[in-house]
Amino acid sequence: MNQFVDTDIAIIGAGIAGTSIARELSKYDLSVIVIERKNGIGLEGTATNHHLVCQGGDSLTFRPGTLHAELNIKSIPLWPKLAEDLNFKFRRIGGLWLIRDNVDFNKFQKMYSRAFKSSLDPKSPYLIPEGSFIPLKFIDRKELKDLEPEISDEFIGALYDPNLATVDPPEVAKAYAENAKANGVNFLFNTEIKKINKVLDKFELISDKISIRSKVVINAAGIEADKIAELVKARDFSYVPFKGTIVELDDELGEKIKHEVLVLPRGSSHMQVIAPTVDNKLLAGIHLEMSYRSNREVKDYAVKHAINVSKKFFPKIQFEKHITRSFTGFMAMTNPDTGWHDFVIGMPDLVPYWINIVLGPAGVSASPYLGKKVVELLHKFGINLVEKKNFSNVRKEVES
Amino acid sequence: MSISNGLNLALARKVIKAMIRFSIDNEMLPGSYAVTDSGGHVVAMERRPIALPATVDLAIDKAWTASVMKISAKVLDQVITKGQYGRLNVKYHGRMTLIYGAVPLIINGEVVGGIGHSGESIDGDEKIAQAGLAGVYREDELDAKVEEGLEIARNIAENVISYVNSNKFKPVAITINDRDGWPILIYRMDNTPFGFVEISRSRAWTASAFKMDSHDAIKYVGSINECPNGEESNERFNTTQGGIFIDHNILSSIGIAGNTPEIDYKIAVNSIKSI
Repeated sequence: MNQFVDTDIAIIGAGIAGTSIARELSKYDLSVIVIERKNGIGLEGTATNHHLVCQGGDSLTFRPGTLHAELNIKSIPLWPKLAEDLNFKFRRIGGLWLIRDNVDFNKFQKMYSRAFKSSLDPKSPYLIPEGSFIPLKFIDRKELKDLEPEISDEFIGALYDPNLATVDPPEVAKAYAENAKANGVNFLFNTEIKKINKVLDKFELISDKISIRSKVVINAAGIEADKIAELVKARDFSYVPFKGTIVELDDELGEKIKHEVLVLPRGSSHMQVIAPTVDNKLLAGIHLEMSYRSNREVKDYAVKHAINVSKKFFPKIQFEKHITRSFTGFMAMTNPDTGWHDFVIGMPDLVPYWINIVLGPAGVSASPYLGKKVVELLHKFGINLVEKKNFSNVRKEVES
Repeated sequence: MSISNGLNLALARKVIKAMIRFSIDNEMLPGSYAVTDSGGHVVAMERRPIALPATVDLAIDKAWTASVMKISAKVLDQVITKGQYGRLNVKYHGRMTLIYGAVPLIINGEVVGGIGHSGESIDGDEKIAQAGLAGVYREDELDAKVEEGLEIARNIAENVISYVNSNKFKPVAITINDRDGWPILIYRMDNTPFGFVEISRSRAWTASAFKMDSHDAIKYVGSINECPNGEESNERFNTTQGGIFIDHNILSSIGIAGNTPEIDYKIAVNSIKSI
């Protein structure tokens, strides 16, 4: 006979989405349980991405009016304080969006004016508070060479985003989780939800060893969010898993390349980027393909893509000698045919008190505001949240 | 596991099942679900018997549009034509359908076909078509309980496929109509030349319209010239063998095409032995 647990809110998935939401909800008088099928935090999509946050520059490409843009822009000013409170590594690297010709330049100008309207203009919907964002600027070849001396002569300049930062996403997820736990959130590991029933006004989440009864369920199951939602006919979204392949380069190169460098792809949908990490390594790639989610194998052609991209940026460096590992990961892309991705943060019309979360690209970057968005949603649906008096916003080391 | 076989009937059926599952789970309006190949020719179409008859060709035309423009109708409308699609629409007798719910079927970065849904609002159609594309990338088969008429039509079609395969006949196109003469199901077996799709539809229509096997109709009508042939309004007269009438409370005919008419007729007759 299964053991029963009752809770106010159950969160399925202890990735960056589940843990950031748990931390936000731990500010309120609620019982919250996070359920994770694996034996740890942030082991799937959270661990396998480019680690970039504070994506002020990238936010330019997000379509205004989308949750993707809103959460990313609203998260920008939250990152530095969060890193301080939760004591995780946060490194400002700055991003260089390389310009080859007028096509790139015109495109960046267009994006810049669009971004201005959505986040920098005092009348804009997601105004970034003064002081928390250094304006982006166009730099010429000389300034570019000052920042990245070995960059190829092919590039005539760049759009420079000094705000861009990098973190170690699993470390951030652990920090969220530890802070949440210190404020009363429970975590259940090695617990895979197999079946969901509706019992009166509660969801009953059933795993092999335990059943959790919860009034509200937050489905933050990452790339498996579709299957979890289907258990209760709550999948009102669709996405295609995009398999990304990233190559990690050693810290010897990390000493040479200090900024994120990126170029807009032409005639291909693969990202072309190199990004430093918090521990001075580099991540290069990213080969992207629509794929079954079980297909995790690292392919030679995907590694080759990362090396070709790196060489295009820095022709004099022998990248092959510096590869430390290659890995694949999955992100959920909604509207994959158009590239008009957006996050899913919502309650299906037919399944009240069930909240679906699908992040996908730039999900880590959006995580500081994600929990606040969920709280907004709970308020909107009449769930009364009372703030705790004794919430501690600072992470303390907790035995897991 | 990889998606290596490209677009075939099995994949098209999987896409349609994913769309139907999504629409039933979300209690959306019933409609028609179509998948076309890279040239816009039907690979599979299913209509839920409770859905509007006219959604059949709307769904097919949406899939056709996504196939031949290699892009979704949403992008065509919002980005490419910026609402000025009237000029495009004049071509191909209005078949170019810039209504949401037309999504390209993408495998390995290439558009290999189109997915179309009709029966909901434009936003609903778009969501359902997207669910079809997502279905391509699911390893598990998404299924849902469908209405009896469609269930029977699928069984008949499966009978046809196994009969054709076991007798080593040439692969065929299959059309199964409801009592009003509108398709519930159209399947094109792998390697069937696309021309046979319309032949199977015409034979099925003739059998439905005259309540007799397609080749018998000529005896009653007298001359083929007597009969209007307006495919655009689902009026399609064909008096060759291969369309048979069935006396059933939901379905009324089966049209088979792909071999000589005699063999097509034999396949059709065999397919209904079990119902």
